[in-house]
Amino acid sequence: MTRQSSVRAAALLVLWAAIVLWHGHGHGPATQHGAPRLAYIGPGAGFAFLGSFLTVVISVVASLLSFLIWPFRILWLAVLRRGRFGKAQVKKVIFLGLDGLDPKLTERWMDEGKLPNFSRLREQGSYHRLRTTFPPLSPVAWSTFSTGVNPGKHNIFDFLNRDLRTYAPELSSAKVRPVTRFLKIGKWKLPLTKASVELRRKSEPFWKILGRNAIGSTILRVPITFPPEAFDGRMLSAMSTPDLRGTQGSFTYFSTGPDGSACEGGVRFPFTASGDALEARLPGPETTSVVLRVTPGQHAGERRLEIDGATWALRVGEYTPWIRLRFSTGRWSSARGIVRFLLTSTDPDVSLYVTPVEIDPENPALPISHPGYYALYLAKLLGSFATLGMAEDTWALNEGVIDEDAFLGQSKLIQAEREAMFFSALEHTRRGVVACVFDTTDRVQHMFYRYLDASRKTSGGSRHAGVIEALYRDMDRVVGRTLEYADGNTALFVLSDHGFCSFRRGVNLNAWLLRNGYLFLSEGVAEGGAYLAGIDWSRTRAYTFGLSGLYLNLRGREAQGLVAPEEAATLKAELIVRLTNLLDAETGEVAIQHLYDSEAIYSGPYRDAAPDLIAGYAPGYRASWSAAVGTVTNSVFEDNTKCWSGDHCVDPSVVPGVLFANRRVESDNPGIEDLAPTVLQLFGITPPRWMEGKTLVFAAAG
Amino acid sequence: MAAGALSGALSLWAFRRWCDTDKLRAASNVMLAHLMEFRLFTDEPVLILRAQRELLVANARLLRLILLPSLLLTAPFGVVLVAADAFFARAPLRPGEAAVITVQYAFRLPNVQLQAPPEIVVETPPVRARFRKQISWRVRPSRASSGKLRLRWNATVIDKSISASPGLHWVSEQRSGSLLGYLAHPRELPFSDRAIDWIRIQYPSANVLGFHWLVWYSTAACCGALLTTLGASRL
Repeated sequence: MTRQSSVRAAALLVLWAAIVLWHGHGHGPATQHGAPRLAYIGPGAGFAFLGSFLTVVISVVASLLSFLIWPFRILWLAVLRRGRFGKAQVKKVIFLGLDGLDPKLTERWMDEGKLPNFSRLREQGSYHRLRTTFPPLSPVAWSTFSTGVNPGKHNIFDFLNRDLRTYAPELSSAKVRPVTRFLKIGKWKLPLTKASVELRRKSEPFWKILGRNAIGSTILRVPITFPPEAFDGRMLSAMSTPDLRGTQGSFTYFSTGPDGSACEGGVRFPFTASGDALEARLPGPETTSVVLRVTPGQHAGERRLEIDGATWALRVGEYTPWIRLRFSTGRWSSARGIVRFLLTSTDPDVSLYVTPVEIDPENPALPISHPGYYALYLAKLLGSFATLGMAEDTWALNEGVIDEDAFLGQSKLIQAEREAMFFSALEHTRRGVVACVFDTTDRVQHMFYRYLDASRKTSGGSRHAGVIEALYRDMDRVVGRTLEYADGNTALFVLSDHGFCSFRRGVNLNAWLLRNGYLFLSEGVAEGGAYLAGIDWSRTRAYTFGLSGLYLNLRGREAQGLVAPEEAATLKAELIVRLTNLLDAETGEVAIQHLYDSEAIYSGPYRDAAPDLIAGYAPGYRASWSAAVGTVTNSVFEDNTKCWSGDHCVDPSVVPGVLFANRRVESDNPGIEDLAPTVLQLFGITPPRWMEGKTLVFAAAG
Repeated sequence: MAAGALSGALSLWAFRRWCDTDKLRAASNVMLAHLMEFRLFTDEPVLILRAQRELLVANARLLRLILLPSLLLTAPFGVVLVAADAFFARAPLRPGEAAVITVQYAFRLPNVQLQAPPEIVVETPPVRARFRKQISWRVRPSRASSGKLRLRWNATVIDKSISASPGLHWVSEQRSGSLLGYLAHPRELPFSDRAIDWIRIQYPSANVLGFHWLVWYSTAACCGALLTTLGASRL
């Protein structure tokens, strides 16, 4: 049949034959007189013989037993779990997360009658603007959603945090520790330890508490769930899940054209001509790669892609299905990845875009689900799917490697995969929680917000002017379908973690700190490099990186700290006064509305890891691209010229999220931290005292 | 081995020719998914029952997808397997070792007699198992030979070949009176008499290099399929 199944069958047969041969013919030492070889085989051989057979026999018996005792197990579980819904007000809770759904736009289009299902939910249940976190970033806000606590207790303050010893920024949500100890035998290198992944989000998400009370949950793509934690339920990881190269998503681009500029979000390679064919190597993890060949197709605008003997048709503007690749990482080891290819042009140059090499859900190189086979289950049931934390390739569009249509096409494919998962989970949930976060809303708004911004030249007129409205209508369709699963015993919440606004101008606070004598560059350095390179720490009192945080170079905390702890409060107060209402002289607009002291807004054991000050940017402003990676530039303000034109890294009061419910919520000013205690309360579980959110109050039925 | 390898290559070709491999893969994927549901949703018996139902549906879908090539392969494979089984599964009687001859009758056989070639001694009188409608004799070849056993009652005579030899060669284990029996044991033509169903000689089991011939056949078939696949991918 298929090549793989034939190979597997043959391998099994050969293995079986080898085992039978091994045992059937005995392998004890032959006697000197040519006596039968089975005359003495020794106790060791006997143990090995019996051990091998015992393993096989025990496996078979265990499989049979597990099948036979399944009904009794179900009964036993039913007895153990009886009464678990005794105090529950509902049987099922559905969280439909729409990352970045903006209340202003939602309200406008609801009022215009363009979002009938959202309107229905508002009328039959309730609608509120949802207070978000400091700062209003997805990893921060969704961590607060799942734990019901402020960032000082869950330890996620931004996408990035810094290593206090080296000042090197690192991913705040997870840390992958590679294998460090090997045993070298000749050419072979055997790992002595395992690679490990650590989740840096602290506190406890509501699904773990529910699980302890025998209430199962299905958690799909809720940010900051990589690596997945064990609990009573099923989970697919999301934001911060890396690609196979260990990055947060780096595309590959092959072309016969000029090399072009350097890429920030991926790598570019030239094709090598080989007769009619074009050849290239697609890099995988570490130094591995896969050879691909592009040959002429039957028609103009078509090519054929060959990898490892298999072929696929390539058509301009059309993504291939997910293609599984195997990267050989050693003599006996390999890593499996999945990619989609997109032929972006054939004339005059042949150009081929390749998505980041994502972890193959059918054979994951890192844990991406709980239980481990849940990702495999989803892939078998629904087909392969994007596993990368931020799968929509915003950088490829930013850098002009793909165009807007290609980006939208990719986003739609990903959205379809997640919808299939979400509705499959709803089909399979009679009781418990289903929580799913769709992040297409966030990515598309980031890339297309300029069409809504009247002050930009790009707004109006373009055929993409209606992309965001179409996106909201599509989400309305998803809400409509979800409503079909919400009966009288179901609580449905549709929420977003933050809203959106335009991003026209970037602010480099490192440049401002440099100009105002809080930050110094090393001798002879005119402009700093990425990741805080070139800074003279012996004189620097404050610095920034990430999307909203400002740090003091504190003595006793940072490795080369300068500011004495007793001076910190004074310095913070000084910076707050000077940076609040920071004016952009070029536009005459205020760029920073407020600068918040983290001591006033955070509490908890991890507050020391937080930035010392949080910038509340005004709409239209945000940390500049250079400041986000810790570069010290010469100009404080710069235009944002990228397609990434919408953002939410501003003052939280500017970008609240939305909260729709199919029940009337009577609470005033609900916050995203209120959802975790609310779901516990709905299932009759008293929220733990460390949770800070307030249980939402619902109007009495009838 | 050659027949096995050829069978593997042929079945691979047939399944590729008459099966939609994408649909086949999708069907087996869905089956695996439903199997995993047994473990994923242990606390929801309703879901487990649904998974079982969907597993059956997926199985039926898979069978439907492989129906055509399976039917088409049944005839040639049946012939090959039966012939190979007749040749490799049983060894001739070994000189000096006893064997049992059994007759399955439909109607009572009065005064039935068994005559054997001179090299084969019929050691017992007929032993009747009335409940099973069988009559048996024990025979013992004194040396290597081959010839015919002759079963005689009233005026009816039916012959059955018998072989005794130290080597491995094609032996006919059974002679039948039905077409179906003939298809299973095609070495001897069916007899026309309705009084008996079959005559069987209990030949000893044979193996090829220590294993049943089917092991070698299956190995060769898998290798044949694998080599065909590898060969095709290099073209």
